Amino acid sequence: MMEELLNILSEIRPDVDFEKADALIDGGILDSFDIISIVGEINNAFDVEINVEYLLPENFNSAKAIYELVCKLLDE
Amino acid sequence: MSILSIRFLAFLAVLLLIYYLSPVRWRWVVLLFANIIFYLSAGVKNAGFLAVTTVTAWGGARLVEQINEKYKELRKLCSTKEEKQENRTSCVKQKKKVMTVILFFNLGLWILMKYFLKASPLGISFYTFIAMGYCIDVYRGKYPAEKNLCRFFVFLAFFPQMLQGPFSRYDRMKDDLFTGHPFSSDRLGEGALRMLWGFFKKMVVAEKLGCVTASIYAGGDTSGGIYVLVLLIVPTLQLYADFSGYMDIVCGVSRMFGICLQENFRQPFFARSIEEKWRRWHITLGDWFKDYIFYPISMGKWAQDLGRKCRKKMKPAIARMVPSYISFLVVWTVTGFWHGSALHFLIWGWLNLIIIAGSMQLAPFYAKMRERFHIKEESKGFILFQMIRTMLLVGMMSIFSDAPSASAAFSICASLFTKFNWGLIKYPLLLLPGLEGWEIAAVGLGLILMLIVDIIKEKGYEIYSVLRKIPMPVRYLGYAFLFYFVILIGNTGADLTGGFLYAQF
Amino acid sequence: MRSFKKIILMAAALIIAEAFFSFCLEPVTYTYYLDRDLEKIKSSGKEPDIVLVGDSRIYRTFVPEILDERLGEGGHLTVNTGTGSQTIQSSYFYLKDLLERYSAEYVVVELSYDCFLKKEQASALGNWMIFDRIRSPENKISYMVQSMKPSEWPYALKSYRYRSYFPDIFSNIRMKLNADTRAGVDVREDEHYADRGFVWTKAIYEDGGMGLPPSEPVQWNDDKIDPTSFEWLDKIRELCSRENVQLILVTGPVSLATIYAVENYEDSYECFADYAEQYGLPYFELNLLKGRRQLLPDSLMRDSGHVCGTGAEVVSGIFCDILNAWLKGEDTSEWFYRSVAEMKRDIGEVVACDFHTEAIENSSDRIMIAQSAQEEGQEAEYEFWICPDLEDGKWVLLQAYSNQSTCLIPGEYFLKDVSLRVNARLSGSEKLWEAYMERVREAGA
Repeated sequence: MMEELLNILSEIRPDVDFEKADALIDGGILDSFDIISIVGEINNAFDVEINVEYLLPENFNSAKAIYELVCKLLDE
Repeated sequence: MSILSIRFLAFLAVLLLIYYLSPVRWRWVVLLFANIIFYLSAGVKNAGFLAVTTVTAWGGARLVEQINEKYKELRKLCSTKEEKQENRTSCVKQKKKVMTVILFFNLGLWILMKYFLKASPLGISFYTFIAMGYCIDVYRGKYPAEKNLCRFFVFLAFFPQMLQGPFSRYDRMKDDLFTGHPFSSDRLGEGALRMLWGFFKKMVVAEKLGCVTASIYAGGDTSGGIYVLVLLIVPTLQLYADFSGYMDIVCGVSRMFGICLQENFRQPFFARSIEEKWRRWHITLGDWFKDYIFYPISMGKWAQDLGRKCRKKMKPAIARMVPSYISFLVVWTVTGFWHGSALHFLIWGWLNLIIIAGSMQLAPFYAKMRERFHIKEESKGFILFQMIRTMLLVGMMSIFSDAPSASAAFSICASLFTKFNWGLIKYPLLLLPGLEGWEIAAVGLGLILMLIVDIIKEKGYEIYSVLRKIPMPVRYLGYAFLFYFVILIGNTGADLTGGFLYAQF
Repeated sequence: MRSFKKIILMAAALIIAEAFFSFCLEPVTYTYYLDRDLEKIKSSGKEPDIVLVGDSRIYRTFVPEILDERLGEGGHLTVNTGTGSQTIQSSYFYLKDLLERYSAEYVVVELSYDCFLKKEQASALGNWMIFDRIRSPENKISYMVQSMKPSEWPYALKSYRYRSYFPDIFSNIRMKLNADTRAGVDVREDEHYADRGFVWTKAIYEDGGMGLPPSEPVQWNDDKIDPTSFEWLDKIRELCSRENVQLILVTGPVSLATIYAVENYEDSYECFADYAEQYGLPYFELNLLKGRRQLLPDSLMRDSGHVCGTGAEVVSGIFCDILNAWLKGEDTSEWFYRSVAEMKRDIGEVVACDFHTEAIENSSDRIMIAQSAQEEGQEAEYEFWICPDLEDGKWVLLQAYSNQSTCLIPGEYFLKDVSLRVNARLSGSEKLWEAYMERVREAGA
């Protein structure tokens, strides 16, 4: 699933190395438009619903953090 | 009853007495009756609409929560990932059915009453949106639904926010509303002071500035040409004084009960761009549209599909903006529509959109220009330039919301270049028609006071603590004079039928 | 305790603010000067023994000095406490307050239908003048509660009452700080406060030249009259009787043209005369003084409702003579006409005339339309004149005396400022004119 996630991320922002980056929000690498696209794609691909409440920096600062968020939603 | 009437002040005084004499546990019941009395004073007929929205929103939220609970229980019995997924999908489908009915019904009712029948029950544009926001929050699982219909009604129909908002959020208000606060004379005084300040802004500054706007829009000698420049500044100041003054009154009233209403204004004239302005002006409206229209649409399936298609055809840098821009278009169309159904309101909304989107796209270009001309982005001069530019842009757009029609708005703008009364610039006082000399002085004093207060707040100081530094006799004398300015200069008739600029919403 | 201290401090701040704004906004009125005079009297250890209450027809008509000397044995101290548009109800409350402070011998109350009008037609500001003048707090409050609607009570605050006077704030402050004003010197243009409530007004008309009343006078009509007015008059009568005060009822003079314009003038004064007779009070309808036309010609009138300063002297003197006669037990009816009809018959003249001009369609010519006041059944004839060149000053006759009340004026006259005049007299009269009206008309007006 992690691979799928990385594919999605790279499609939206091909210029970012998602495997290594870990300050995506705090470092200003991703902006709000990216988040929206990412969230939309993830919702679609994994059939989850990332609510507005989850739009916090700690959830999106790295690909790993995003992965953890998705897992959490899937377990509910 | 109008907030600006002796009747309301008497009602408030009696209510405060009863509220603080009641046992703490029952104080929310006092508010319940206050809401009922306040709303009924606007006419029994209209109460029906409020009741319908209250019941459907409360019921719908509870139903959604029950569906959530039911499927959660069922999910515990699921063993495979597919089963869990199916469970989730069915849950969402069911919830969506309920939400669709609730949303369609209430928003449809709003559109019907406001735009077709043109007979708006009091506060319908506010309580409808607050109720729908609440339902969506419960749908998203942000907080549990309110089980008690009466308590929900206390929140939804809280009388200070009935006429002009702010758009409250249930989770932020419920503690204040339902847990009574001990009596505090300090809080009472602060609330009263804030009310007085609001009355001053509304009844002195906004009222007088309104004379200028009305004179210019009335046509004839005092319109067109150089007066259009006046229209770039005065109506915005008027609207700010009017609306933020009303908010001060309403927040002051709430504070007296220990309830904190969300702020709608955060020193808007310090905004450096139109985008920032909307984070400082009518904040709760902007937040509501962001949380309940912008994000849902831009993160929704349709917009994402479109974004994906665009990513295949164009550069990713542009493609990623597509869902957001679509969302923007919807948000600004609805924002314009919320202010009025005529074309010129929509144009006003779209102008906002064009300028915001434009400045986003042009951001790199602007950066290059700044470098070329050696302008430091954080230099005081540049910041001031940005603030003034923003204010003038807002003023220009306001011509579209204030004019009686789109064609009128365009012709007013055109007259800036076609009417040659620029010689009047030698007589600045004449550029404020409808006001006598002493009134201009009073308004000027009021605006300076407002600016001082805003500067203090922008620097991060809490206004009450700043005021407490002034020695008490001087401070109280200042309050007394402020009170007298309101009753002597303010438009104190019996009941102000002129109403607020936002009262039609 | 802290809260209590805060409340006291806030109240003090509000009082200071009120004092500041009322100082800035309240104009200097005659009340200011009257209060000074009353203080002077008080500090000299004396007490007024003649008090006059009523509306403007009191304070413009009765000269205290004359009453001091000519009433009774002389040596009195008169105070004229009339205020504009004073209602009979206001007169009662004011009088009650005055009689708590002074033990008067005579009280003169003016009766005219203006005083008896329904409250909605009464002037709110006039009532507040009385409120200001009443001294005792209980009287003030009981007056306010009984005479004003609750929605009017905020006007008790002078700053609120005069809040529309902001444009004049600087000239007002200057006037209050001026040494003359503080010494009680009133320097208005066409009238001035003279002495103990009496206001002296300038004479501006020549005999026969005052014209008709500018607006139609109120016709005495039961509908318009406040039904409680006579109750308040009763209260005044009872108050005077309790305090052993001789109450004197009087109706002050208005212009003859005004009387002629009120169709049923008799109804009003008969009402008052009957009342006076019922209670054995003296009532003098000064409009019906015999020889009225010669005693009070236009040159002694200030306007259609009041006499001017010199007229006041005449009226005050006559009033004293009549009252002295009454006090001696004489029959004073001989001083007066028995009816308006008798007065009109005795006068037998056109008492006033006036004109206005109207445009004629599709022409630069105008038409002059004259009106006049004379006895019913009598006809007037009119003569029309024009002075085409004001610098030259020569008058040109447009139309000789005839019954025609209209006259055509060719348009070319109006290219310059001109003076127009109408003379009127009774048909068949030999006089040059009995009444006239002359006005300048500006070119292109």
